[in-house]
Amino acid sequence: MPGIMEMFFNLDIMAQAWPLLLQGLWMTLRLCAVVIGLGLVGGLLLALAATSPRRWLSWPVMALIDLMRALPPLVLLIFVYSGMPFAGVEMSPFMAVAVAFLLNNSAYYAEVYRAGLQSVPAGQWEAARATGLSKGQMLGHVVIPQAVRNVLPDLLSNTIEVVKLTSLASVVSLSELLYQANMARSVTYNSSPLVMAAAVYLVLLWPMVRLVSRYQRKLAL
Amino acid sequence: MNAPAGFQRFVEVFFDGAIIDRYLPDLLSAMVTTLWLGAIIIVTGVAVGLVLACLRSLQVWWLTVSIVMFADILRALPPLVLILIFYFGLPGLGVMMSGPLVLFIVLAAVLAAFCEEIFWAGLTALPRGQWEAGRATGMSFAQTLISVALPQAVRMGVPSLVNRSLAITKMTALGSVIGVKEVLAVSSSAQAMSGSATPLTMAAAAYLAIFLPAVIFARWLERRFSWKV
Amino acid sequence: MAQTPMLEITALEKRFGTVEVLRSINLKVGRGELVFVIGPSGSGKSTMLRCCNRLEEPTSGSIFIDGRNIVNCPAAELNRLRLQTGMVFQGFHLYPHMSVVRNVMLAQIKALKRNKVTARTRAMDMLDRVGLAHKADAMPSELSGGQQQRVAIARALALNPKVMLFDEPTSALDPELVGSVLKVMKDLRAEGMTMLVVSHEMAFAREAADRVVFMDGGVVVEQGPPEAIFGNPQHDRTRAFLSRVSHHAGAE
Ligand SMILES: Nc1ncnc2c1ncn2[C@@H]1O[C@H](COP(=O)(O)OP(=O)(O)OP(=O)(O)O)[C@@H](O)[C@H]1O
Ligand SMILES: [Mg+2]
Repeated sequence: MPGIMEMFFNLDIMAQAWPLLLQGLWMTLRLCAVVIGLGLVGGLLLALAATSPRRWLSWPVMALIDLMRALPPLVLLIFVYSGMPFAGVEMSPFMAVAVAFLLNNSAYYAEVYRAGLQSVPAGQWEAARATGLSKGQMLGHVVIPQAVRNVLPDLLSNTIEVVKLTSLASVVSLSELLYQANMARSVTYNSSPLVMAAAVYLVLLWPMVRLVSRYQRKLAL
Repeated sequence: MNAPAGFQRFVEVFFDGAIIDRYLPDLLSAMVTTLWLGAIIIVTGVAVGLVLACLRSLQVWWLTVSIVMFADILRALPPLVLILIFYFGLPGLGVMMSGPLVLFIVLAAVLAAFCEEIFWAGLTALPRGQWEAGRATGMSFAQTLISVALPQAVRMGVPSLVNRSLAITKMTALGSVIGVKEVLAVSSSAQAMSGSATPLTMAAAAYLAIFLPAVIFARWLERRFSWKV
Repeated sequence: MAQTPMLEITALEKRFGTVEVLRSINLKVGRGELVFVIGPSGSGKSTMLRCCNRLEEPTSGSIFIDGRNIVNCPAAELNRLRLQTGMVFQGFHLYPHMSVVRNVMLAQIKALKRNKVTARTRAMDMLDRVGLAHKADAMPSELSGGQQQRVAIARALALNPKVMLFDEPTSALDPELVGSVLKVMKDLRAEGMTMLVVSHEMAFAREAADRVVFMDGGVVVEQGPPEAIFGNPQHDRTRAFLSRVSHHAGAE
């Protein structure tokens, strides 16, 4: 029986797999950039709609958000990737993944923003209105900056979740980090590439996880 | 009825009655699998997280370091990476684990990591006076922890706890990758065999049936707990 | 035995790191006596009080309660020993997740191992004593500050302490609620409870205290009956403090 070092920390195999993983990492980062960038914007728009006093706007948006929160992201992904072609919508794997995760994540970001918007005291709205700001100015200069500051740790922790989420793209054969690592594993019959992928995720995300913990503790105190 | 042809085709592909009939029994039993997996993951994860937070409150340095490492690593790694390492890697060491077992261990551990952080944040947010009131009335550290501090920490953490439990339970869908016969796996293979998208619709409906009430419940809880402050 | 004081502090010192907060405190509280401690902020009043049930660890010196030195008491016995002193905090510190009566029952059950029925009966008696039996099933958040503090007193009394320690029990209260808490303390004194009270309620001290102790800079500067301390203080520091305090009181 081969030892743990041999099976999980085989440096030769890691060296061989590294170029493959690097390509995967690049794909992962591109995916993150798209999903996080658009998710941050889309989430804010959804949150503004969800907190709108107009019920014909807020209720359907709330329903959409809850729907997205109830569906596992992988189910959404499979649905978009394998289901949409049946409806005549062909998408590249990258597109399918981006669309599915964007739907999922905008909903999560929206929830975070919504909590932030609701944490801004009513007095702030009134003060802004009293000084003659327009609705847009009020939101852009007074309310949103405070809302975002109040939920920065949650935004950050959701962003961590997005990066982790991109690993699901491997299921639909998008050649991101985990897919590449798993390919390397199946070719070499050795788990070291997976361990190396884990290490890459750790390097990427550990600092952010620490930051979130520290942040949350400070808020609690 | 004179529905446009495109719409009719859409209904046929995504809501094919015959296919629903054929795969409904399989799907229902898969739902049961998803449900009990979710249940034992939540119970185990929350319980382990609670124990870890209690151990951390003892402030023994090597315990604290190990717990923080565990919580950090499991919160930083994508669960699918761990699932693949456990499922494909461990047999190389002679440790064979079934798909459901791997799924349970990984997701329960991930949930435990998050719960530990939530409980610990609650414990550190508790005013020092609460501890002092307990100790001043002659209660031991453990008694004060259990009767005074933890109930309040748990209460503070309930909304995050519910949201996190939901998020992790939804990840049981990852079991489809390692052959766990849960909802997504069953419907994916049905989709492949039948060549229809209807099983995927059924999967979505099944998850909504399970999780939509939970999401709505979480929303209600959150509102209730935020009023209390 | 009747001659020994209920609480006796000798040569008590406390340092936080290099900061000397208490330097050689000596103080006796006789049985049934109500001793009042006054002094400027930061003089170490709270620290002294907290040493008496070892919420703070004394650096050196001894503290005798009913003739037993609690400073060298092993940690294992600490919990039992803390039952002898009842502590009332400035911020009440009621448990917000428990009803009033459960607040008063908890330590009876956990620390004294009383059964639920006994604990509840005792709790109701104590609540009755502080005039709050009708609030037994309320949650702490539904009570006024004065009511919360009276519940905190009941919680301490329920454990049959030999000494009650009060750390500014009324300074977090609105003025109109102070009276109800002071009344409970006066009743306690009439029933013969030994009490050590840190407070700035000078009028109450004049009326109810057996002795007033003035602390400054971690030492007891002077002590004596209230008339002597308030009417004819011997030390400049006492005089300066009293004129400052009465100034404030007059300004209000
Ligand atoms: N845990 C601690 N660590 C370091 N210094 C402390 C600590 N607790 C108290 N001190 C310091 O000890 C000194 C005395 O504090 P203490 O609370 O006993 O004063 P006090 O007389 O009760 O004042 P106040 O009237 O404001 O309540 C203060 O200078 C305070 O800063
Ligand atoms: Mg003080």
